[in-house]
Amino acid sequence: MNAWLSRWLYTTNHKDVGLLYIAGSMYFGFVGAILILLVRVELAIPVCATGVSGMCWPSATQTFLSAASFNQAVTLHGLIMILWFLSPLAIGLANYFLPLQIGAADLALPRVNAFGYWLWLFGGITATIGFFLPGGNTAGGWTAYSPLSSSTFSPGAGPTLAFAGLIMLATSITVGSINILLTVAVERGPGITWRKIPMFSWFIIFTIVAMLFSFPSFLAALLLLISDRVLGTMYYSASAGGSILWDDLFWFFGHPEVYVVLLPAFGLIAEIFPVFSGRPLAEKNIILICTGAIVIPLSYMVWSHHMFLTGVTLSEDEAFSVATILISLPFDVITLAFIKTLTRSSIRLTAPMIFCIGSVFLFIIGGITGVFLSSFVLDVVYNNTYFVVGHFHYVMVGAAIFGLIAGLYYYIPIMTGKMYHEKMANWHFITSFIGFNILYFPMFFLYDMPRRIYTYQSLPSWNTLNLISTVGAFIFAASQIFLLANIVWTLRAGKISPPNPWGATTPEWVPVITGASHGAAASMGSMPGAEAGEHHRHESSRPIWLATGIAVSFLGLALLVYSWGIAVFILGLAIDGFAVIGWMYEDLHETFHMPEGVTERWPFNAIPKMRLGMWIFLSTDVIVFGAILGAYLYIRSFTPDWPIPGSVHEIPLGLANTIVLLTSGLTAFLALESIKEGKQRNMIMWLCATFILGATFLGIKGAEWYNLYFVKGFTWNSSIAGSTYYFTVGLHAAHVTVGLVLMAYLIRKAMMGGYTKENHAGIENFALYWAFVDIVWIFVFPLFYLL
Amino acid sequence: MLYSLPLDATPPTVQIFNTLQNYYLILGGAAAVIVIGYMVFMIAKNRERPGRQVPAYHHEEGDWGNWKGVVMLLCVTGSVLAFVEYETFASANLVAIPDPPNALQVGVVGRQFSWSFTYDNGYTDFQNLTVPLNTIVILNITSADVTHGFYIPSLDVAKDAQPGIYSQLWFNATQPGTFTIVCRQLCGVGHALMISKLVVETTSAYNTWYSKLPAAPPAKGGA
Repeated sequence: MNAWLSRWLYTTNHKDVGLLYIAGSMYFGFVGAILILLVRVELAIPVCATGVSGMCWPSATQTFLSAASFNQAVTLHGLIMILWFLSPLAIGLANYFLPLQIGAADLALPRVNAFGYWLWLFGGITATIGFFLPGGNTAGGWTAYSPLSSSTFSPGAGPTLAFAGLIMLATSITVGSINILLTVAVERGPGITWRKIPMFSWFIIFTIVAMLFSFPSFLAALLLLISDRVLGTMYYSASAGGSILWDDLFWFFGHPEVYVVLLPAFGLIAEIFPVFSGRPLAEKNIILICTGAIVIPLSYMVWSHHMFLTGVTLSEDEAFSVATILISLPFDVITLAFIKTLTRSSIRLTAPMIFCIGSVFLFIIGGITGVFLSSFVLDVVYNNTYFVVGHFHYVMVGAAIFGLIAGLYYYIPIMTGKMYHEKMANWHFITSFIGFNILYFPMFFLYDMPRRIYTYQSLPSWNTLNLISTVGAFIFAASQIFLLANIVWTLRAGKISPPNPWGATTPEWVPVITGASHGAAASMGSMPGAEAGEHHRHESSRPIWLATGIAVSFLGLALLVYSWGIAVFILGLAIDGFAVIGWMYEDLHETFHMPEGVTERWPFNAIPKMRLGMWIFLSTDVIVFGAILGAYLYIRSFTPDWPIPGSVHEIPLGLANTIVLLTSGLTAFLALESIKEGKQRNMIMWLCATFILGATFLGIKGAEWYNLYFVKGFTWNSSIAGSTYYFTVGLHAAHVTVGLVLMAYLIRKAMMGGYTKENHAGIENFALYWAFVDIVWIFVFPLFYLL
Repeated sequence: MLYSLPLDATPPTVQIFNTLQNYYLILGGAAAVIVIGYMVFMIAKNRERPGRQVPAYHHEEGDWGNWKGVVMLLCVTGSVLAFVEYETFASANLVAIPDPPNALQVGVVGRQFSWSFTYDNGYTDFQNLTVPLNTIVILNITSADVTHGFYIPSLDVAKDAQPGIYSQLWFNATQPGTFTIVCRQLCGVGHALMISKLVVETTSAYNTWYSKLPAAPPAKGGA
């Protein structure tokens, strides 16, 4: 295969993957911008229907976009901009610079990193395919409120694909988060203690922690939604509490997600402000403590302020309003610490610094309007109006994007080895800052105009403001051409940059570790990664195939409405099987080579890392199951006629199966104990016993399901009891199945002598996973069989 | 702005909202001006330029920097925030439902894409919400399909309409006339056109209108 192509498709190098993230996010940013420009054109002037009581009334005809297209455009604009542009741009920078900042040769699990990228990219494509399908894409807003997002009110393959794309995104983020946390915990270079981790990396760590505990809730919500749409389960549709269930699960993710978007930009400001002010960052430790307080616990205590109008009680309103006020305090401290860094300083107003100042400027406005919205009384009027739109764009576009662009300019010398065009960058700032304020400031005065309406009645107070806003949108969008032109100019004609053009002191500029490439000069003249040769790129084709397989199987799942959908689904599973077996093959035969200093290889060093990774993974899985069991209890509380225990499920059979599964937990433990004593044969025997017991568990479960579904007529789309049973038990069975696949790999590797008394991390991690599967069942069994 | 409808006598809900909003506007505006102004001043003062001496930075601050300054900042911003939050709590009667003896109760159902209003006698109006002047009206709001957002801009009151859930809002219209009711929660293709009218009539005109309503059909789709 073409060397250039195979490099970019198969790379697992953190720099390459980082650049792929940046390029991909810019593509999605372009798509999201086009969508919203269409929306702004539509809203530029009111389109009047004539003759309605002398007033200019909204018209359903003669509009630029149809209502359906408009709704799809605003929905996908939100999803794409937040999840496929803003966050990934930050993740791209983190991928590239976090390992450099902490002296790691690469991320802890390079192939998992590449897999995360492809899953993210294909997820984005999957989510946008819907535009081209009959029935269109999802159109219920990026918040996808239920029951509008159900197949009753949003039928067709398009919305299903969009939610499938979101599942892929959430999975990608989860594996990516585990990877980065592991890297920080285990792969730091010599001399990089926790206290010496630079600020950008610190903020990425906080971002990752926020992702790690919020995305599982989103994943659970989406799995339920997809199951509702594809299988016909009834979580969100048939129950009175369905809409609130989605609100809670979604906003438990959705509010921390706001900080996920914002914090990387703060990290860049904390990096750039001191460098360009010629003095250290003021109150560094206090900034870190405040950020920590925002992430855990405050960001998880405020989600209900998105639901002030949903009919919750007044005391709940008051509690969440106070929590929201509290979260603004650490932000006050951080913002003023940033400003304090500008005192007693000598400020160089070059592009990275100007964009950072713009970011803080806009964040102050966005933050103060956020305090307005924390008031549950003012929210009665502001809720779902352009005031809200103005507020969160000041934070997400103003603070976050300006900060990330500052980061791009700051790091262009390292990423390209060349210096960008300063004048052009200055014009970029001036035009985008002016365009931004023309675009979003008028929205604060539109606090009585509902958002997401495609046509509106002509009111003097609305017409001018909407027109101004549309003009601003075009200025702001056009100003981004300066950025693109600057990148192209830099690559083609930029002057070679000195190694440390800004006089920074952090490790990515100043080499402290030998062997790793640092500073602008290290990547001089060519795209980074290329100079390292094939060995250091450590290519693997498995990640992209695994992601392809998942995308194709989701495509098939969404296309089940057509008869040939099942074939696509099976093709996807086949590709996945091929990729998984290939991945395991690489491990069994050690054909995948890591760069020096990265310790994914067994036998040594890998033990604590993999165990830590498994613990982090299980903690996210706890949240997924917690959300799903919580959803079950919540939905059940709204359902009066629940079948009596014993009337549907055969308790003795369930109990027998429970004993089978718990026995398998014992045999897995015995396998681990055997290898700890070095008894390989015994270990293989106990592993086989575990495998057989696990398979027996699934077999009994299958027989139970057959009996329930075909004999008793207890189906997943007949009642809420059926929906929750099949979904929860099915998810657990999927975990058992994954365990069986892992065991097959372990047994194969054990037979090749892969595990010894000293080295048995694989067995240990598996035992941990299997114990988790057992524990989940201990919760599932009484909840579904006995209560 | 209020949909550009002049109001002679300000309804109580609007009064509450405006008073509260003024606190936030004045204090929030002042905070923005002070902080942004200080930042811009510092940048102008400290920007690198020929002939300017770079101030020497002393590492006089320890690990915890100027923590006393931070505590002081928290006290100042904390008390401002506590003050506005206190005012919000004091304005909670905008959302808390009063319980006067002669309030008018009307059931509201949102559906794709219209509102319907059901009165005590079982009559359901699919176009207008008609209420008497200077009377406390309590709406019991729900939805027949997806989530909607019931919003009367000229009265500053709103509540989500959700399937299977009944929530309440109250208002007291103090000026006769016709006002707009809109949907504020994206509910499908007809969302922008899901508009009804609020008709406020004098008490006698309302009573006449109410007494002439057709005989109550069996409650169909009513709340």
